[in-house]
Amino acid sequence: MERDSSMKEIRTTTRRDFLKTSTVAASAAVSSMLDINRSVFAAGSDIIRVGMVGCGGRNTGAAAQALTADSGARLVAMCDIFMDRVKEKREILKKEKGEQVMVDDGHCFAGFDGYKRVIESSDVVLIANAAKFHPLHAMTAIQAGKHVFVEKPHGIDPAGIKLMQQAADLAKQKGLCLVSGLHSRYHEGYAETVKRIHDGAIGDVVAIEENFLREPYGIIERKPGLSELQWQCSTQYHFRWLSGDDVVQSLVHNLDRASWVMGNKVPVKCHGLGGRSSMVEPIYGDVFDHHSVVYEFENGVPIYALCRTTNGCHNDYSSVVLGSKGKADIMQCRIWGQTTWRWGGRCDPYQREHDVLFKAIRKGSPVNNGDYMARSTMITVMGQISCYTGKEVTWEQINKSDFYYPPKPEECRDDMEPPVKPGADGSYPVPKPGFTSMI
Amino acid sequence: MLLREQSAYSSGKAWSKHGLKMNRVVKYVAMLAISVVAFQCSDVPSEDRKLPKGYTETVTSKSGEKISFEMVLVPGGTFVMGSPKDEPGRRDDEGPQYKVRIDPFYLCTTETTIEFFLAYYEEMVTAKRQDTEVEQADRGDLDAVTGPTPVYGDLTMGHEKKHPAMGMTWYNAVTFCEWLSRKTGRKYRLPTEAEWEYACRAGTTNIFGFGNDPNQFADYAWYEANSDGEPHEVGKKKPNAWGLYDMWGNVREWVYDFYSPIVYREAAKQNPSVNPRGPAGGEVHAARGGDYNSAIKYLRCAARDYEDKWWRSGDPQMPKSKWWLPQMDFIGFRIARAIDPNDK
Repeated sequence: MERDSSMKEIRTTTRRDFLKTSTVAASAAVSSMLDINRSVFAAGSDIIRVGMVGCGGRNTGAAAQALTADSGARLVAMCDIFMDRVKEKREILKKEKGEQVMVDDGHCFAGFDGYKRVIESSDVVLIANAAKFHPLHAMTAIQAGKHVFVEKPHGIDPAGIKLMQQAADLAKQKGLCLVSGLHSRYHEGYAETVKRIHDGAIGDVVAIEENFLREPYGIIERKPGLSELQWQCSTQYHFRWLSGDDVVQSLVHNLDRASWVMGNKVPVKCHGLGGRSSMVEPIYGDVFDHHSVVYEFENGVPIYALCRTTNGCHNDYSSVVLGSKGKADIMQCRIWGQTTWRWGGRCDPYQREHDVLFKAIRKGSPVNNGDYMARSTMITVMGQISCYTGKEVTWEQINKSDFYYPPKPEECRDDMEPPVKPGADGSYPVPKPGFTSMI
Repeated sequence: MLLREQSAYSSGKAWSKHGLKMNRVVKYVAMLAISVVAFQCSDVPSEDRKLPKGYTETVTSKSGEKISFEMVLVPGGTFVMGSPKDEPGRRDDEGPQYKVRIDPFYLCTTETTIEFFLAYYEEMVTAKRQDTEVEQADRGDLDAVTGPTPVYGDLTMGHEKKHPAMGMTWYNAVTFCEWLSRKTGRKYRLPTEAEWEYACRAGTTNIFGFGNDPNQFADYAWYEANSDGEPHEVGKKKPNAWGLYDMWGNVREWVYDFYSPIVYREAAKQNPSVNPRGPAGGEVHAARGGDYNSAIKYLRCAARDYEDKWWRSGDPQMPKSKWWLPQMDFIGFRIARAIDPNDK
């Protein structure tokens, strides 16, 4: 007898749906199939070599999902800024995935350049490290003919995001897979909710409210012996030059959903505000702990987007779409309109990302998320910069800008000085709206 | 033991269709060999009548809010645990039926609410990343109670303060009990699986604890047919004969025991089995009572369930959080307390 139905997984539907889409994609991409097969199934082997760029909790999870998605996948190389993270995660993955983890000591790399060695050794590269490096690492992998899974956000500044777009375009040309960690697009319940909104279930969209209000990112004790650079890298979410701050890091999921609801359109302008209210100690680096951004689309529809990382405050993680005839809550997969509706299924979008990726590789029908990954990230960067500068920022302006947080990712060296340093009181300089200018 | 192995039987079908793999049986039997220990049996008064039928406990949160909860006396007694082979909807792990003696204990009339859980969270949350092994070693020492890491997203999942708390791991629920014990000076804990079933049956021998007619469920439970796909405020339906609300549906309730499909076989060798508390080790813990999305057969007093691999799927990290089951709005808990000599 079945166990309780409320625990049913729906992976079977996932696969069937995917086959449908991939068949269509396959016919459109026949020419690239040979390329894919050559690059992946080296010497007729059915082994797909997987490499990890970044050994934090998220990429370790992604590696487990990749190895779950395809029984022929083998983890062969890993890198991180810190070797102890590499070794620690290798053990965790071995425990979980056994013989699929085949990373010898010679394929554990540390430091800023470790990614090059991982890319050399792999057929599929999983990238989840400080977001500053996502575009460069994705581009390098694609130039080398490797398939890529890359976590969000897809860059932290206009220069980086443009590189990510180029990487996506190149992947398309080369017939390589590029899967984005913007998991909403892989969530079947969200997809069904958005489809119903598009079909008119709540009438015309009037406004969108996006919330990501939560506790601070985990803080790490500063171990003695760490250089200032190592310290910043070890707690990258708290440094803007590495993470891009919270509109970019967190609201990217929300704003990706909002843009999706709006037919993958972009807002024409935004104004934002933000600052540090509670997380003011040096351990919180140089990021803001609260932001609010109001975006506006060409047709006048606004997005009210809020994020906060503080203790003891009201928390909310939601994407609410208000329509002329009802309301939708995307993350609850619910619609209240002329008819109320609720999605009844369950979906693990994180696993699905990898199921889709590896099936696409096996079938030789590349999947490429380049149509939304750069755009959704650029929307967040536009908002973030508006919060820092206090100025209105237009879509045109942000796309014209080549602003980047120095140093350039390819110029990072293990022995360099970090671009931001603490002052005499230990605290880091933070942007001052009205004074700071960036683009 | 690894959660991973759970996936091999996560569909549940494996038990009835293919039987149990031999090596696993051996493992479970080995655990059971050192298993059946009783909670505080020596101090327990034999006469329930002297004990208060219930009491109200109030705690004050960090922000000064007073939160009260009701504990009701579950009288000691003997009952038959599990279900007969011909019970509709039965699974194999509900048998064989066996006789259990339960000492009196107190059980909360409702599932733990969001406001109650938030009081604990606000006091105990720690932004520092913790080393999981070290934490494990600390457990049991009340002065070293560690707190949950910040939840990713929103702990309330958009629900109100009188809704049941949800989406916490068993470990987190147990840590809540430790916190509450320290705060009140009374020893709170999760009920055992046997205590839970005994309390759900409330002295009856029928299928649902209020009778055998599933049509009555609308009066007693938030479940598949009436929940509108979400958990509801606690205590809004009829209680059972012992004054316990939402024993069926709403959220599943963690119990103390590790889950084992064959634990009844072992326990049945004693007659009666006294205050059984499950296997000494295991991979996952049991959770009882079904949830807002459950069909009637999963709301039977005897129906058993346990943590499924799916419950961790909302957490894309590895290692996965030991505190949270993100987005899993169907799992909560209810607190229990053993009688102590001061209860008069």
